[in-house]
Amino acid sequence: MPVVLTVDPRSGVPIYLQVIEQVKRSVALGVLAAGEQLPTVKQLALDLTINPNTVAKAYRELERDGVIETAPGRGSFVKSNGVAETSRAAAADVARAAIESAVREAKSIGLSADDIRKIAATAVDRWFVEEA
Amino acid sequence: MTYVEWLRVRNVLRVVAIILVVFLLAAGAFRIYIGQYDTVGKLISHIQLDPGTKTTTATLPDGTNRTTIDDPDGTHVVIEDRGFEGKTIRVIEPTGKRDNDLTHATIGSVHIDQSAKGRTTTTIVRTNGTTAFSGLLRIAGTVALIVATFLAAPFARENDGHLELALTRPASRVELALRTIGVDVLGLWIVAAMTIVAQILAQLMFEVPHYEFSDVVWSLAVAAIVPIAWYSLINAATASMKRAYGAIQGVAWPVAMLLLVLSEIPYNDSALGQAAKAVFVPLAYLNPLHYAQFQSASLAVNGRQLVAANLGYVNALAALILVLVYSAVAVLQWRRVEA
Amino acid sequence: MSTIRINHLKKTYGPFVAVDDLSIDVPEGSVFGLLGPNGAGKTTTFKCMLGLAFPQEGSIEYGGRPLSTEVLARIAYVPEKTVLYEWMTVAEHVEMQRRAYKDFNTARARELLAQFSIDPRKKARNLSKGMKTATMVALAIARTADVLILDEPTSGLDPINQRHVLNLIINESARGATVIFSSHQVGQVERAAEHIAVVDHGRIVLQGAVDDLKADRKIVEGIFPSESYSLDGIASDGRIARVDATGRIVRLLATDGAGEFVNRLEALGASGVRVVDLNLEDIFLYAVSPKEATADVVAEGSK
Repeated sequence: MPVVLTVDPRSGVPIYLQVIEQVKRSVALGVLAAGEQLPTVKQLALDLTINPNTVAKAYRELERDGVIETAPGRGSFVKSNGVAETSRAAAADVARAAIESAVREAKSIGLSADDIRKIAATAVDRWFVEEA
Repeated sequence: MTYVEWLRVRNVLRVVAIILVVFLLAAGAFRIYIGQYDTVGKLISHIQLDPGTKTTTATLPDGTNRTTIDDPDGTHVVIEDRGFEGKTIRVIEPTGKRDNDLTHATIGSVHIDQSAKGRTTTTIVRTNGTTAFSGLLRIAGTVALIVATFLAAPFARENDGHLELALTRPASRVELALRTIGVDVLGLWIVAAMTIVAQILAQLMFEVPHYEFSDVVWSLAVAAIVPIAWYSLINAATASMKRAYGAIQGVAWPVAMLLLVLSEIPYNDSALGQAAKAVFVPLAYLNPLHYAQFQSASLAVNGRQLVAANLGYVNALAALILVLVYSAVAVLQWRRVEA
Repeated sequence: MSTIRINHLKKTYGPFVAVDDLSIDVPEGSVFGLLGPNGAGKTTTFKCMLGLAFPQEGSIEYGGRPLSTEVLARIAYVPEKTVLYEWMTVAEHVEMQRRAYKDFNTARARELLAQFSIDPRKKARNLSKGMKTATMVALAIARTADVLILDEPTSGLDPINQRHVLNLIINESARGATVIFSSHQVGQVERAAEHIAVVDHGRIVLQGAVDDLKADRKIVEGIFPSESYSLDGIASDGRIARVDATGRIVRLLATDGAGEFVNRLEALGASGVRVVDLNLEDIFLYAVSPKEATADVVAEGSK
């Protein structure tokens, strides 16, 4: 299971949120395929050297968000039904967090709402040019 | 904790064993040394100084070598050498001692008895008369008493930085304390037993021992209990200590001996004397060494022998009470010790 | 064995108050970190929990029951200071524990000692401080205890062995044990613990779930146009734990509702208002020694 999750315990972001975000990201990027098994709570806790109850909490939320499903006695797996929507939802979550963060930072520096919208539009134009 | 105490006891037993072996080797060396001496011959040559002394030797059917010496002045000596079974020397001399001058002595296994008849005195020396087993117990008890000083203060040793290990076991403090004391008591009794064995072995190098068991019961009781009482006293004194317990172990003997001496001084009737007596005499009753009396019954005349035996039981009982009281004081203190 | 509850614990040594009105709830199966400067009362608290010291006031309950020999049989303890018998070998210590506890697994003990590169034949006096700590940890983990109480379990160990101890703690937690441990290394507590309590001068100055503390506690920073400004009663809000004002820059330590304070600062005319995340070290330092904390937050400014 080549799952590449990293967490930074020293960051101010709670570890379980980091795990959730990382799993969603992996699913969105296709690193975690539909139906693929996640590491056990104990294994992930040992791999990342973090509290196992934190991992369990993250897995519970991921299950509530419909990203993974847990079969008792067998483990946790990436949800195989509606994986396209799940990926998109997951991707949207990741993107939303990133964009919100950027907007917050821009605002704190002193940019106005219009300034930020202009910058965003420019960026979208630039990065979606290839699609045209 | 019991296991730890058992390891400590084992180390002490090892040291005691080494000392006893050294003692046996010394006894063995001595045995070899005097083996070179023909003691009978030396004895004979002393007596034969007078001219005209007639000496005859004979070998009896059971293998005994009998030497008869007749001195012209009337001394008649018969020496019977039974080898490993010992020697008997009978001396009849024309001195006519009075009754209260007669010697009756026992030194180890050597018995000396004198009797008078008319104008002659008969002295019989038996080198392997019986050996009083109570004497062996006396020595074993003394050794155990000394070792008890070293084994004492087990609680203090735990207090010295090990309580986090010792007291977080699933057993009550009282149970742990009693089991520890049990191990130490067993260790002291093993020391006594080892000492008895060593003495028997040492004697075997010289002669076949014949033991007589008078006074054995109260001697055993005193030998077994007084060291435990001593151990319990030091335990009670140090049960709450963390550091200075070694000092207590060190001064215990001198202080106890001093107090014992102070209790036995015949004080005069001055106020100071009476006050001293009022302090030191009762203290003696709390002092286990006071009960470490191993009076040799065979030194006594019949009447006193009986009294000695009774006194022995009283001493043992008193020591037992001290064991219980001091141990209780120690255990109760240890219940409240904080890490 | 369920929740461990410490109720209003007070322990004094003569005139010195080591622990005062200390109350902690440790949920079953959680990992609970106890943080605090030296002499704060962490070790004293552990001693009271294990019957090694007798508190003047308060009580400690294990699933509603007081400490008893049955409870002690389910607890494994690693004390902070060296308690090994200097004259005994490590192997003899293993044997000692084997005889004392029914749940002691000798094979596991040997395995753990090997992992820490400890020679069982060595006498305890010949072990380094770190190796002594590791031996105590190995002896504790070799049992399948319900509760582990570890006082500075990584003291004296090199970083590799420290990580190893941390992994052992995580493994025990995954097994379902309740772990209470104290450490000077906030990073370790940050990783392994879900709940923490910060003790200072015998009192709890902070207690809560690590995730909650990180999610709720934020620095709200704003820059006012001039040095004369009014905070309009923000300072007296119960959710503001600290106000640091240096020149035109104001930093509020909010224990909750950071977003609201962002709006209020902006309404008061501050610009460049931002929310700064706090990691556990920041939270801890703010709780016990604020002066040092301010400098760190300025330097890191973690988001």
